[in-house]
Amino acid sequence: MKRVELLAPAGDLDRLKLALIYGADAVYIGGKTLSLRTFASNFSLEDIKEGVEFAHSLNKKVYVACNMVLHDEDDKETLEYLKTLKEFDVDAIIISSLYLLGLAKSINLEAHMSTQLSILNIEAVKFFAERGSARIVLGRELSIPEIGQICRQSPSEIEVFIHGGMCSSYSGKCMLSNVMCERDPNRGGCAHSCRWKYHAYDENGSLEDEDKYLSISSKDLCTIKEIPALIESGVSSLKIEGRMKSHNYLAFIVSAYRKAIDDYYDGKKYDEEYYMSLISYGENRLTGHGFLHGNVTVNEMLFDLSNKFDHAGEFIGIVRSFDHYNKIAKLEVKNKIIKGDKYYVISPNSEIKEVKVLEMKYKDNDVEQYTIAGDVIDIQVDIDLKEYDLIHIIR
Amino acid sequence: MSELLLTVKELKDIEKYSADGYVLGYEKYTFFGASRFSYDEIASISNKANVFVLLNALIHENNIEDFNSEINKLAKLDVNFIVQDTGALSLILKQISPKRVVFNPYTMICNKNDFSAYQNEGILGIGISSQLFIEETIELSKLDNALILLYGYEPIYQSNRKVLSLYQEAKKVRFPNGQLYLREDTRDVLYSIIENEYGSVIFNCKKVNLIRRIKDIKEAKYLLIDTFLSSEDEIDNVIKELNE
Repeated sequence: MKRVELLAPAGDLDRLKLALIYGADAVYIGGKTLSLRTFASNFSLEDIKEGVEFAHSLNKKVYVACNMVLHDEDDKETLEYLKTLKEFDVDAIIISSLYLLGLAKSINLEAHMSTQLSILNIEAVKFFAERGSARIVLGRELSIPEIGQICRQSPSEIEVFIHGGMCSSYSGKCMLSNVMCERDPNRGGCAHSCRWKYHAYDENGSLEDEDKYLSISSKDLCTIKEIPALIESGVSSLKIEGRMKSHNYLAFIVSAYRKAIDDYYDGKKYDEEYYMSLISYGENRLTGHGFLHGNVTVNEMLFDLSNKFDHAGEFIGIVRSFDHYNKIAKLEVKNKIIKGDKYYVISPNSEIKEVKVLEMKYKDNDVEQYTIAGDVIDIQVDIDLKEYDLIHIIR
Repeated sequence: MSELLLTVKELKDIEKYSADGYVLGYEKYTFFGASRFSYDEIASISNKANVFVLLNALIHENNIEDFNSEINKLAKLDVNFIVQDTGALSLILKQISPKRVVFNPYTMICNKNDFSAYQNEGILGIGISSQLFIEETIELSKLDNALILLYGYEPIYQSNRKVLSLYQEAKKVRFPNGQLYLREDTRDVLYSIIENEYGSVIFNCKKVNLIRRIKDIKEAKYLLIDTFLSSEDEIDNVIKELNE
């Protein structure tokens, strides 16, 4: 039985490796051109090549997002770029353009149609499938029964979002940020204007006091409870949103869904509480189930913009290497770490465990605590660690 | 020579305003438009004027069969269609005729090559994004079959969420009937917002008005005057300016 694919975002090469190590079957990334996340760090050609080689060494896949809505000035050396991706053995590109679909087909490069196209019915799926698209990423406004109905008739693979930011509008149909601050969402410049404060008016003026504001913002998507139903609906790929998200977010969210998917297939107890606990260490926005149960209700909207997810932990650092003989880790610091304190470690495919920091050095000098984010320090610990383990304080 | 299309608020507009074609909303699957007309109303004028039925809702899987039966019913009339949804386009291409459909995905056609890719489907017309710079619009207008918004408010947010109703329900407030607007907290302009069974649409605070550039875009196949949210006086003035 072919298992559903867990597809994770990666903003750079380091996060690509982390996502795959933590259990993603595939990652999607953006290059320096044609990608929709202007503010993600994005991959150079060399990074794409290395990322593909790394993924393929693990029998995993890399998809490159080329889903910007092109203007003529963006369309420079596009075919050459796609040919380079093909040479690098990229597994597919993600596009929102019928023109790019034709180009991809001409060089036998697999193409997936982006959620930017707001594909919401089987006829739209077939339109792109018949023109060569191997996979369709559905719009996020569909219910589980609708997704199932599409999967049963689809000639292409179907991919759906399972976690992360939700556009308040139909994807590809929002120009709020372009109109308000000249940042075109369809060219990667989304300023998240749907998350700003608005006031309601009629012809006679403001309808509410100035201190009240109207939000059109959506909660983020979280579908841990719906994963079995989504798998049974026949989707091929489950996608996590967020190419700009941190290492910490990726590690925990990928771990949670990896465990949930594996437990489902392995017939083990589907432990929603445990998966949600993992998510709580990585997530910092309030979440809902989106449209999966039908039209959204007030519960899926974010009316109080100051409301945050109750973050369960604090990310202290990421292990860059480990000397097993001396039990010394090179730790990239993210937040304050104190010698003698106990922390928690999350590892790929492993339960969360406790670790004590016995000694700390920065550039060979003993330190009692360290706070400068980005620096790498040596920590001696009481258990074995490995590259890409994350150190946490759990509240 | 371009054809002038006009969205119709009332059927009497067809006699009042001279245009090459009239765009009519339908009682179903018109997400936003000047108004909605019944099948019988559309039938009553379909042989007297060049009618384009505006079906610009995004079609969800649950509605695709019903949408299909509606377009087949309408196709028996002498009308063309303007659609936004790719599935809607596909159904008309397969079951009716490419020569009876204008595909207007609003924000999505911004370059010549994408335009050409849809043009190769033999479609009657292709709407280009009104978010383009004027120079880009002029370039795309030179391609066969372009539809350009000449005058009117463009949608800048289309959502399946009924954002006004949901807010009122959550905050236990009730807004008055009539046209509502949103103001972003730090800006002094109002954006019109509408809500119906298909969701919510927010419109730009400024109208598109390319009438003074009409010579530059005269090669476009269709130039559209969208009367939605504009007063009768404004439309009278636009038509007068065009005639001049």
